[in-house]
Formats: sequence, structure tokens, C-alpha cells
Amino acid sequence: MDHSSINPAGVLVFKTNINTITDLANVSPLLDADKAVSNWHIDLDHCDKLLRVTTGCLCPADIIELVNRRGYLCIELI
Amino acid sequence: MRSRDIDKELLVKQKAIELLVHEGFEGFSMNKLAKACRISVGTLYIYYKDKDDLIVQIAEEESKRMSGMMLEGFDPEASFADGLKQQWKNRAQHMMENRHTVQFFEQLRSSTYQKVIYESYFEEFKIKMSRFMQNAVARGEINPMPIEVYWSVAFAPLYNLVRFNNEGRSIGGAIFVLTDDMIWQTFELVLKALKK
Repeated sequence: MDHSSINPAGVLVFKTNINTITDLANVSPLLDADKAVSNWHIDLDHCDKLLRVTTGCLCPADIIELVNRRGYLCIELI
Repeated sequence: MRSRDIDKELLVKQKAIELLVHEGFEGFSMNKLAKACRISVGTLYIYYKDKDDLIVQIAEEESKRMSGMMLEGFDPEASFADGLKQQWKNRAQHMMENRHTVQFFEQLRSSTYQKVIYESYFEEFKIKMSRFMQNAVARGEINPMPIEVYWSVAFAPLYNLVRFNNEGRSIGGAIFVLTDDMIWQTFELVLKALKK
């Protein structure tokens, strides 16, 4: 696990293809259920459908894996 | 490593206000802001979750900052003339030094974000302003009147002069620069109108 990419504020930002409300409903249960995710939001108005996650202990790979599980693309923005 | 950097946050806030004023809420975008600040969109999203969140957060922070500045050196127990004079000094100075913020507030007032500014003014500010007016009434310096009437006479003339100044033009498009003399000449008229 690469902890160097976790920023001190614990906020991670990803580009996704979660384009619609239906897509959002598909990934919501996974993010909601994860106790290590204290807050998350997807900006559907942004062209890159940016996912913002606040987490104290997860690394980007964990979030990517979580979103991929529902078949969506998820790329960390550096 | 990305971190919350105070200087960067200030730059983002300042550029955001500039862009919102110049492009309007519709024309403004997170991508444009990131470009103007020369930071990645990812970094911008560390601070804000979307455009709406950015507008609300900045509006709240700016109204707290402005109301804090308006209380500098102001004593709600002061005599009506002294207290009002201090208010005029503070308001004139800060509204001329923070032109973009003033324009941003105007935009907010005529938008769906209207509620945000009214709710986020410092509680201390509201309490001191109303206490000052109540004191003046209790001491018999001014007549009791609805707060809207009081505000319209006490501050609206100054706000109008500052607007002319910030726009650089007055009635009929004439070039205009507000001077201290004009501020205090208007102040004397306002004082005369309000004082018993």
C-alpha cells in the first residue's frame, strides 16, 4: 500500500465515468457502507464526474477497487 | 503530496471571487478557476466538492470577514454620532478596498444564494448593530423607527456613493471618484436627518 499519496487533509479526488443518477445509485451503497469513508460526493456537473472522498485511512487504490467493483472507471487525480 | 496550503487557499478564494464577478454564476466553472490559479482541478476539489459548495463556502467566509472588519473600533455603547461615524469609516474603507467582494455580494443578493449571506453574517455583528440603534433610541438621540427605515437613511447614502466610486461613474455616466470630503459632507446630512 502506498501511503505517500494520502494527503494530510484525508481528501482524495478521482475522475470517474459515473455519469447519471442511475450510475450514482449503483455506487452509493458501497461508499455509504464503508466505515472508513467519512464523506463522499460526486460532481455530476463536472465533465470528469469528479469523486471526492474524505477518509482517514483508505488509500486511493482502495477507493478505485471499490468503484471498479460496480464496473465503473476511477482514476486518481494528482 | 497535496496539502491544504493557506496561501493557495487564499489565492483560490481571491481568483474565484474575481471569476464569479466577471463571468457570472453561469459562466463560472471549476475548470476555469483551476486554470486561473494554475493548479489542477484535483487540487481544487480538495477544498470544495463542487461549484455550489465553493460559492456557498466563499460567501460565508467573506461575509464573516467583512462583518468582522466592520466592527473594528466600534463600540455599541458610544454616542450616536460617534458610533455612526465609526461605522461609516469602517464601511467606506472596507467596501472600497474589497470591491470584488462587494460585487460578489450584490450578485448573491439577486440569486438563489440570497439566504446564505443573510445567515452567515456574524451573530456578534447583528447584536452590536441592533444594540447601538436601541441605545440611541433609549437615550433619546433618535426617534424609534423600523430598522429598515433606519438602515435606509443611516447607510444607504454611503453605499450609493461607494457604488458610484467602485463603478467609476455616477449619474449620467460622469467620471466619479469619491473623496473624504464628500463622505463626511453626506455623513453630516445623514446625522442631521436622524438626530432629534
